[in-house]
Order: sequence, then structure tokens, then C-alpha cells
Amino acid sequence: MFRLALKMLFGDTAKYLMLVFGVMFATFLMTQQSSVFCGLMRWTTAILKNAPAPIWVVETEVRQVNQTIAMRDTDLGRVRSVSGVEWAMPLYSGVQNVRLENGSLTVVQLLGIDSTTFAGAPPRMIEGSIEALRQPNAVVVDDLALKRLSPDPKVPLKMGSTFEINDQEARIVGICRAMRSFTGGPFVWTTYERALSYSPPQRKMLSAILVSPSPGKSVDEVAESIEAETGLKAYVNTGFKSSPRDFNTATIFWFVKNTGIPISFGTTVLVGLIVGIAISCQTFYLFVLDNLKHYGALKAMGATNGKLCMMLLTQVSVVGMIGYGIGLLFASLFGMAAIKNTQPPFFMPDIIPFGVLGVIIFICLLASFLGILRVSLLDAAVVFRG
Amino acid sequence: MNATPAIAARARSITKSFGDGNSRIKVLHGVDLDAYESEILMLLGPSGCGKTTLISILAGTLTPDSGEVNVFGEDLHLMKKSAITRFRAKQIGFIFQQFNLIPTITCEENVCVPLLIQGYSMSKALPFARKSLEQVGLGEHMKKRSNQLSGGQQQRVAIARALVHNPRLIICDEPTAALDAENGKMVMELFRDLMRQPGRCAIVVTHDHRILPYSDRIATMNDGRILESVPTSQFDFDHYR
Repeated sequence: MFRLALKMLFGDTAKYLMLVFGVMFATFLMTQQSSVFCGLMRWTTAILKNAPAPIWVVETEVRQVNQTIAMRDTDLGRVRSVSGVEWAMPLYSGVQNVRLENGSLTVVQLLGIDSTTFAGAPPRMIEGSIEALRQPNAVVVDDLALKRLSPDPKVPLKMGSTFEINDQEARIVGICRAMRSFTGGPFVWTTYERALSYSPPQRKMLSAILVSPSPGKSVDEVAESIEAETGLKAYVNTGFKSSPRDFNTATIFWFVKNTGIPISFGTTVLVGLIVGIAISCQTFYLFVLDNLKHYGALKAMGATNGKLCMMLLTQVSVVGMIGYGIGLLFASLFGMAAIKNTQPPFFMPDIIPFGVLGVIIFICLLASFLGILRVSLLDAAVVFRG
Repeated sequence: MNATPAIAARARSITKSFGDGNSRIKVLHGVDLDAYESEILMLLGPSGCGKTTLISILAGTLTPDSGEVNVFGEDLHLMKKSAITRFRAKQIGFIFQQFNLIPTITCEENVCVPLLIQGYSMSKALPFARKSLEQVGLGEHMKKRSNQLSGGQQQRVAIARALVHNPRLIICDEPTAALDAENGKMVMELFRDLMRQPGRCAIVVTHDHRILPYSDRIATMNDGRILESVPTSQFDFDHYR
């Protein structure tokens, strides 16, 4: 009966393709939009990934990592004096203007790190070394900067190239791989002192203090001590949802709560769901109606409601899996292209394909429910009524 | 001395109504009917007289309001729906007016359907289907889809499907209504030949007077009642023409 069910399904090519298209469209839209949303949210935490440290100490009012409220330089010493702190280093973080050779301006995310320990250095160097930052006017840039900061994008910058940050020369001594920032600008690392000189002077310039706990102490424990003893805010950088103090989680939730981004993406995902339900349910119900006399004949010939229901579920499951597979494939191809092109942001955690699969199963069950109801209530004697 | 043939299907005091309240219409008024083994019984009567309702009840696809239905010793009126469904799958073959072949599958797969319903796999059912198609002279059309065949050929496929699982009762609803005279004659000749098996019974509902001579007995109906049930040799063809 399963083979019969599939032959009935594949035989009606137009409806079969329409059903697959409906599921595929819903899968693609929900997966792609959710992944772009996750990618965008991940970009909001790019500074935490690009200047890694177990604990980030910031001003009390800071709610997310892109928000900088400068602290006093003396706060660094206060943090260092907290029991359980292995080391604590200053970090400057700010968006600065860069003038290109052709005179045009662009912005970069400037990070100033401690020149002794290089705490907050990029995790993956491609060329050069971070120690070269000790040279005059030296900066390390990410690979995006090579194109973005070049006057001619076809001729990217290279090691030794120079550009100006707020009218002061910067020379590339290292190239690294980094996560894109939420603002879209490239990352530039330099020493803390030079970062202050590149930036317009202010009374307070210390953006954050990067901290490592002493061996045997947990990050949460040390962060709690720092908050208790200094009154500053201490976040941990251990990954999304890993701790109530996690800075990634706080940052992402801040964007979710304070921007229209989730509503925008959520609406598109909802459209995908509604379109998927509308196309799939309507087309499958039409398919059942078209075949109603055949189901009636099968019923008259002795097919039970259970067997007919299994036939319908087989048909809808096959359509669902094929549509889901193609939709996921297209979403993955989109993701591969996005990652290769470095934009739009794309990040597909496991929960997205599994979640979308759950939604597709729901759509399929809903679509088959109407058909099953129609066929179950079908009077077998209908076949004798012409 | 001729032995009386065993009764294949018996209906006693069958009543059936449709609708509710003031719009309730009584279609069958205490119908009694016997169909015997090894015979073709044709049920004749004007449209709306209750023929289709009666064969639906005899086939177990419709439940009577009252009365008794016995098919090959089984009291259908006492059986549960699921048991009737199982009984129908094994003991009854159907030939419909509009053939009701599934157009998206081949003829041999269509013929397999009653066996698939009984739980056969397609590979086990196919040899039986091919044999049945050869019996109706469609051996060379097995791989064709039903919509690639003429009306007469499609009804022959439907006959092969009705007989493939060797049922004892065949229910035919206007088997020649969708066919021209020549195809109708060919189908009925084939049908009669295939029905010549001991223990098998066919009940045929028809408007088509040209096929009456292929029957063994004719029952006439009007206004939900059986008027008469006589051997074909005693039937007054002139009166009904």
C-alpha cells in the first residue's frame, strides 16, 4: 500500500511539485532567516571573540559589549588587588575614523591591548606576529581591513602598507582572522597607549579590564569578588547561556530586547511558516479531494481507515522530507556563499535545522489531518453513486 | 431432479432511509432478495428505485436501518464494521460504473490493489495480477496506465481487479453504462465466461436491457420494492422494453 501511495503521489506531478515547493520554501525561509539572525546576533559579540579574556570588567552601567563607558585608570589597580585575580590588563575599544590614500573616510573598530602581555590579542594570526606591535605606529588588522582600507579594493593592502587613523599614520605589521563586527567595520589592534593617542583625548579612556582568574578559581567566583570589592561590573566570557554572568548572553539579549531586529526576522520566519502551511495544507487537501473517489473505491474494496491514513501519512511524509531536504540544501548553499563572502552574517546552530524539522513535521501533520479527516468520514458506498 | 443451488446472498425485510426530519426519504421498503451461487443476478429498475442502495447493503458498504443480510453464511447485520471490512476485502469483488482505476499507476498495479489491501506485497501480488489480466485478454497492456486504454479495455482491467483475489460475490454497478454497444457486449461475454465457476455469484445493477440475456436471473425493482425475481428464461422482455 505504501508503494501505491507513493505512485499516486508522484503520478500527480503538478500537485507533487507544488507540495514539495511549499515545504521547501518554508524550510528555506525559516532556516535562512533564523541563521542570518543568529549570525547577526553573533556579530554583536565579535569584540568578545576577537579580544578573548575569561573575565571582562566594565563600568557598572554597561549592558552589552559594544557599549563603552570609560572607567578611571585607577580602576585597573583596584581590580588587580582583588583576591583570585591572576592578571588584569587594560583594553581600549572604540570606533575610529580611517582616512584612505584616496582621501575617503571609513570606520574601524580599534582595540588597544597591553603591550607587555598582549592580553586581548587576536586568536588567529595569518601573517606577522603580535609582538611586532611594539614597533612604532604598528597595527595588526583583520583580513577584511586589507580590502576595506585599500583605496582600490582590487589591490588589497598588505604587510607594511600604511593608512591614517584620525590623521596619524598606522603601519600594518600583522594580519589576523577575526569575526566581523556588528557595525561592519574591520578590526584594528594596537597597543593600549597607541590606541589612546589615535583616539580623541577624553578624561577617562579605559574601556574595559581583561582579567584572568588565579589557578583553581572559577571565573564566576572571581567575577563575583571583583564586583563585591570594586563596585564595577564583571562579566564572564564563557559562551552563550553558559553562565548568568556571561557577556555574550547579556549582549545578545540586549539587542533582542532593545532593537527591532528579532521582530523583523521573526516576521519573515512567521511568513515562511504561514506560506508553508497555506501551500502545503491547501495543495494536499486538493490532492486528497482529487483522489477521493479512488480512496472511496479502496475503502469499498476493504481498505481500513487505518490503512488509508497510513497511505496519506506516507504521502505527506515523503513530500515533507524531500521539501525539507531541498530547502535545507538551498539554505546551506546560501550560508556557504555568505560565509565565503563574509556577509550577510550566517550562523546555523544545531537547533535551527532540528527546530525547522519540527515545524515541517507540524505542517505535514496539519496538512494530512484535513485529508485523514475527509477520508475517514468518507462513506464507502459513495463509489456506487456515480 | 435438479438440486436447489445454495444461497449466496440473502436480504430479508431490508429498510433504509436517508435524510432527517421532514426531508427523510425511505428508499427501501422491506426488501427481500435471494442471490444463488453460480448465477448472475441482474437487478433492473428505473433510476432512484433503490438498486444502488440495495447492492451497497449487500456489499456491506452501507448499513440497513432494519432487516437481515446474509452473505455466504455470514450475518453482515450482526457483524462489527471492522469485521465487515475484512469480509469485504476477501469475499467481495467490485466492478464500478466509472471503472475507478487509479490513473497514475499501471494496469497490473491497479489489478494488484485487492491483494495489497489483504496485505500482499507488490512483488507477491504481481504474478496474480498478470494472470488475471491475461484472463481478460489484456496481457500485452499490463505496463500501460489505465488512461492509455479504451473504455472497454479499462472495464476489462476492472473485471480483472474484481476477480484477482478470487472473491465469491461480485458486485457490479452499471458495468456497461460507460461503454458503447460493441464494447458492452464484449465485456459482458467475458464477464459471463469468467463467472462460470462453482460457488461464485454476481449481482449486477443495470439499466442496459441489451445485457439482460447474459444473466441467469433478473430481479426488477420499483419504489424501493422488489417487484419480481425470475429466471431469465421466464422474464418478460417485451414488457420492460
